[in-house]
Amino acid sequence: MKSKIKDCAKVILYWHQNIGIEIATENYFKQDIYYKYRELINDLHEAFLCNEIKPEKIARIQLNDLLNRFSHEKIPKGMIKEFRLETIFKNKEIIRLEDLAKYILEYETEYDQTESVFDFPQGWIDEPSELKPKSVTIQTSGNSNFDPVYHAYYKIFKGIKQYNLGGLDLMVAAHNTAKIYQNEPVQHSDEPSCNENTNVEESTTINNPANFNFQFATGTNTLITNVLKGKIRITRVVVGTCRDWALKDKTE
Amino acid sequence: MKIQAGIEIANDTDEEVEVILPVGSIIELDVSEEMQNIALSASYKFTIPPYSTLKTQVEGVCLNKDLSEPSMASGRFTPFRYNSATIDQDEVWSTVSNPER
Repeated sequence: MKSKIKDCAKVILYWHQNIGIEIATENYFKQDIYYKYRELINDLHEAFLCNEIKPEKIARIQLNDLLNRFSHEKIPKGMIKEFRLETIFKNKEIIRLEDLAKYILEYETEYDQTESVFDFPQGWIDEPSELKPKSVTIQTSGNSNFDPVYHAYYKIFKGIKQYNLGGLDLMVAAHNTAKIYQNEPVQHSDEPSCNENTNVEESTTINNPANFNFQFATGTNTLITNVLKGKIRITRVVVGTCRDWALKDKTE
Repeated sequence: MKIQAGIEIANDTDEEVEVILPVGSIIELDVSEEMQNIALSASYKFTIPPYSTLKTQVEGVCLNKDLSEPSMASGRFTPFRYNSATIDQDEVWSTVSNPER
């Protein structure tokens, strides 16, 4: 499913790069819209190659923005075949750009639900976008130690460890706290599994930070943004100090 | 109960740097220590002169009711803040214990 969605986005971009540009040259050459269209297609293509834009965004742009004027355009059968999309549009004789965009949007929700890692949204360091609550259920194959599952899901935090920043331990602790208050089993990595039958399928629900009411603490001049931009370094954080710690430490 | 945290931030550049700690900014502790993570109960603003280190203290509330209170434990800032203009201990505990599903 994931690859089909990506292929639909590829075909949309491929169509614009090859056929859309021709139509635009024929109809809008030297008009403002022609230059804007070319620029948008180039930007989208570049962002897609760099994995900076998701198929969903491309689909939305196709249906709502400048590209929408091409939404009724037919996609050549050869292009559909080349990307092996004929299986998802079996009953359609004519496939248009809007069909691809609508397919992406229809299945993107399902695709999101099965995504197995947490990711930072684009631009989160400078302009933090609002994180939305989202839960993912992951099978744990009979092992009631959930730590490796959390570590895999939140592997993005490894990338900021070099800046002396965390996040993974916070999320694991929050999950454990929630389990305790909801009477769900909590098992830590140093405790053996109570489950003798290791083939029993188990699952755990992983919540995104927003489910715990956590949002990004980034933005202009914030500690995190300054650290990630290399302006400052956090050299020490001590929790549970006495009130005059800073003063005492200076005189030591 | 409020928990104090000591922080040191170094500015190695030749320019003054302004640093904002938004209210609710979260400091985590190693999960293996089984100690409480904290959310800052106020926002803080500092200016760090060029080539100098700021040493200061901030104050927060606990995020994990079930864990023990930290004492001189090494922590790490996270990219997150608890999203509320005012930080109330009971409300924080209730939210973290009952995540939105």
